Amino acid sequence: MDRRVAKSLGQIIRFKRPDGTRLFAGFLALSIVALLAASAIGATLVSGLNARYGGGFAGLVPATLFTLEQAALSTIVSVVFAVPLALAFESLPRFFGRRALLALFAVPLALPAIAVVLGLITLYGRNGLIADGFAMGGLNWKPDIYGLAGILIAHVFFNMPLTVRLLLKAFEDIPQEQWKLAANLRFGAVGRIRHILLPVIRKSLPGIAGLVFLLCTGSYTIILVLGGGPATTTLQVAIQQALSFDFDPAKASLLTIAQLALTGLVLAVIPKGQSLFQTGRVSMRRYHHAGLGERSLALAVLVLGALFVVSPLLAIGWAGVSADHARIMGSHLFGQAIVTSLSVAVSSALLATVSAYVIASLRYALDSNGQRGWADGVGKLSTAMLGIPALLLGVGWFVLLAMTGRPFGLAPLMIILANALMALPFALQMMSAAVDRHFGTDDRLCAALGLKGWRRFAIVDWPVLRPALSGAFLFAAALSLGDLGVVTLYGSDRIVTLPSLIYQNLGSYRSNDAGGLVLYLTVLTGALTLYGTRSQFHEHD
Amino acid sequence: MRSILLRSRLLLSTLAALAGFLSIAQAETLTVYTYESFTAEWGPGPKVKAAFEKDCACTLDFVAVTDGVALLNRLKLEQADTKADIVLGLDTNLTEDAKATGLFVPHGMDVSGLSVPGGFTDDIFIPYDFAHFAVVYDSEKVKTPPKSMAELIAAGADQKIVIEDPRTSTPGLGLVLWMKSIYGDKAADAWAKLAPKILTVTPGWSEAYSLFTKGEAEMVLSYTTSPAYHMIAENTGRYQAAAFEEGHYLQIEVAAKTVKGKANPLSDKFLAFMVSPAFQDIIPENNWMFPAGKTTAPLNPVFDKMVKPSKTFLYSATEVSANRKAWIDEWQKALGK
Amino acid sequence: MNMIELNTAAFRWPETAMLFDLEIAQNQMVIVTGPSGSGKSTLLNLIAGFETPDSGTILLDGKDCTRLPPSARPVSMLFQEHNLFGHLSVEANVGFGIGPRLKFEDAERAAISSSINRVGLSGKEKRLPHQLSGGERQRAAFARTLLQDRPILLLDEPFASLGPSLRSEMMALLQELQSERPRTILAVTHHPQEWTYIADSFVFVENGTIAEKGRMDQLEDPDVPAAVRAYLGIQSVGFLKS
Repeated sequence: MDRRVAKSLGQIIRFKRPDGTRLFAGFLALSIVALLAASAIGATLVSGLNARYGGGFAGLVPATLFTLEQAALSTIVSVVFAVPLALAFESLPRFFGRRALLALFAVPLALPAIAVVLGLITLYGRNGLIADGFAMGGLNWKPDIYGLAGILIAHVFFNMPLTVRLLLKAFEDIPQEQWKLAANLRFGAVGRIRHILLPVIRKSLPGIAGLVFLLCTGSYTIILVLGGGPATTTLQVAIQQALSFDFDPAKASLLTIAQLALTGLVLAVIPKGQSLFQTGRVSMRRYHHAGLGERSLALAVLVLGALFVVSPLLAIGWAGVSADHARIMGSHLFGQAIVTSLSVAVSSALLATVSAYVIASLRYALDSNGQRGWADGVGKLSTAMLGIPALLLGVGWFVLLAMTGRPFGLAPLMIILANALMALPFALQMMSAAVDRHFGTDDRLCAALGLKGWRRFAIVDWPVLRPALSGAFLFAAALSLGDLGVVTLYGSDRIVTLPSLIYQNLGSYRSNDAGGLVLYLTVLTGALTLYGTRSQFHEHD
Repeated sequence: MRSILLRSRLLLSTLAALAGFLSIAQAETLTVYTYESFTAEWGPGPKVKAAFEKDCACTLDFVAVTDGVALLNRLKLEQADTKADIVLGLDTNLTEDAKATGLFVPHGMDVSGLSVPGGFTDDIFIPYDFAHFAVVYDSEKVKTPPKSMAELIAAGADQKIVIEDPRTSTPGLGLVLWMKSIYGDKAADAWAKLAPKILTVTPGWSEAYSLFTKGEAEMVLSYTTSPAYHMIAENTGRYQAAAFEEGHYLQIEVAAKTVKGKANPLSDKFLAFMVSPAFQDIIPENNWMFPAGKTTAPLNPVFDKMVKPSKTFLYSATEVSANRKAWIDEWQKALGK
Repeated sequence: MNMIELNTAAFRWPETAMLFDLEIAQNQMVIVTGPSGSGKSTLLNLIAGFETPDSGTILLDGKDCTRLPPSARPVSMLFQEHNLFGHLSVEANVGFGIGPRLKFEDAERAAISSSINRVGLSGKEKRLPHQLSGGERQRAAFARTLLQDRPILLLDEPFASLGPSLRSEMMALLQELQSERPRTILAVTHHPQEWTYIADSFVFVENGTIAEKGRMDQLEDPDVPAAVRAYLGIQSVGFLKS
């Protein structure tokens, strides 16, 4: 059956060498993903639920413009800072604490926005450490984090470490021969960056920038809290408003479609990533000896970058230390929240990783057959999932499930699905290069050996791709750990996650205990990431 | 294809059955929809459940969503399929919209024992607690707190206030209504004058209050009862509410019986319990609001120290419903410059 | 004079210990053969500087290079694949033989052009590697080593991914280049038979050490050790020539 479907798919897109399973499974996964998203939007549109379009659509033009402005600026600044930092990490492949530092870089994305905002405020706020420093120096200057600057700082704090990690992941796929050649051809730092790293950056940056841009358009709490007032209103605020007092899901859907169209335009403008099929072995070994100048510069960049990322985390940790830990741990909700959060995170990360693998395979199949446009479209379609607010997914699915009579009974499944959809683009970005390289290297061999299907996966694909797949899995898990998302809609006393417990505490004057929980979430994410990356740095080839 | 369809239908029905099994209702169950901070471990929920179940030989089942607004939205989603017998935690600004859903029925109870400022009564919604909105300040930084809204507006911009967004939060809407009550047509001017003192506008109360206790702003829009929490639970008088001469806007939290709950004899029992001292005793020091009904013993003396507004503002639910959008637009225009 | 000299150069992988003693005279073409995992590539990596011996010394061109980084050694190297940078033209890739900056004077430009010409790629200067065939890519890489102008050339199975006729073409090219401008060449191969007529001698690596060495014709000697015979699959004398 799958062969027939694959064949007709092959005919539709003029496929020269039909690759049955990859086409079928990939398009199937993609269709499910698209269906899940489209059904939510469609259901809210046709349900007639309060389709009053209250307040009309006035004021949306400035909101749209500001959405674009802040997202574009945030993306540019994140990337501009992330590239040198990634290069610095690459220049210093071995130093004490490198892995721990990179694990901390995975934390920001896993924290609820409000926790990050509070951490940043501890530093940059009116009553923050920087203001204190100036006061001690006798200067009465206070940083003003409220406004575009604050939004940018917060978005860069979220997205710059993400970009660094994604870039380093892409660097891992450079074949070791290239590093040997660089040493043999007497490349200096400039040559290495220009001829080995930059091509990889050029290839992966469009995809990464697209992700960051979408994340920034979807930002909500940060925009409101640090924006300083209604002057900095975005489409996302209008969407949340339509899902709040106005409760007009149809309007929220229309706005989401508008936002998707907008981001679609931006994604379309982003150039296609250069196709760099690389085969062969990779390793963390480097064969050049970075000069003192290079190492000092790298160290300086690294220290600055680490300071920017780690200091708010320390502030968050510090704020959490003073919490009433006995009271937090003593709560039966605490254990429940950890278990629930972990199970949700693991399930959605598993779903996201599997679908990302299948979709990455599809993309490879398309790309290696010269269907670059299709391959690119597949990637961008998956990325677009980030443009749909989780709450809207929740409402849409609810409307659909209302037909089964017990829509809220499926709440856990909905939460997992929504988180998986959100994590999919990241997982895809994490593993694409590795999947491309691996298939490019081993496909022919496997075909020659008649290895296929599940056996091939177990014997060949899994052992080779394990670092990439587990990297993607951890990333997705971290993302879901900190996500409040649809829990807010379905949430009840039955489903308590760490983020929802944090909000419960914040909502009852208990900001200290909320701080403690944020600390635990930080430690949990950091530990998970550290654990998951432990095997990626084996030296032996 | 056929087999796949069959299989997925099977899967769906299995999931549905599983879900049904998980949330299976026991014979004598009362389902109450409410908001999260009510059911939090430290909130009134667990005590209310224990007290009610002690007498009724039944199960009180709470289903909690984020806040009052989400509560109403969930009902709008579920409509007639709702599992709720009782909805507890809407406020008077939402009752008009709630009535429009047609999901609620009159309570038919004698509520003369209840007393809320302004004497709110309704044939569907029963008040269970209340508090006035107030500007809460940090007494270590604010030595001369504003004595009126006029003073707050006229003050210099060096002391900041955090407010909530009326588009997404109840206190945010409360402040808009408060301003409107005081300034009427001149509200836009008042907002424009207040603007330089507003540090930022947060999506909800939690974010605003966190910023405030972190020391980012000297003042925050909260409730007259907020200081009671700090005085009783944290033993500090640092955070105080400012009494405004013009008067304060009132928030009343209400509960009501749904169409579905009409068929459940436990519903009436719960509403009667809710206005009784057994329930009302729990409210002050767990929900940090004033009880609407009589309590067994006088409240903790700390509550006597709370600001007692000279005048209470409260728009009718109809007025709020009719004007909310226009007034929020006015707010947005005044601040959005 | 010995161009390459390894004196009890020891190197340890987690599973195997290796110890190499080797002397290769200037302008000799020597093949390195032996079972997979025996240490052939490690031997080349030690000479190129991609690995550093735990003890012992490595002398190249009369100079102690034991601790020198790869970039400071008089060595150029080619691999089975990835010898070219995918985003750069043939011309630029070959130009790396002159220097990593890719800014050339007229004389250098001419040298690049003549190298490309020499390996038979003229007219394809502007192509990107993926627009070339596998054999053409290796030719471009050879052109680069010509410009690098270093006395030692290390080849790590450079023709392994090419078909038989391409392999013999490349072999012929290598022989021509060697006669025009001799270098000391060390080539790892699993097909020593193919090198019979162009290589001078062989080195047989087994279990991390050099188990046997000799002239190419000695590979067919009746008294060649059993391990070599087993590796080559020689059943009877004269097999190679038949």
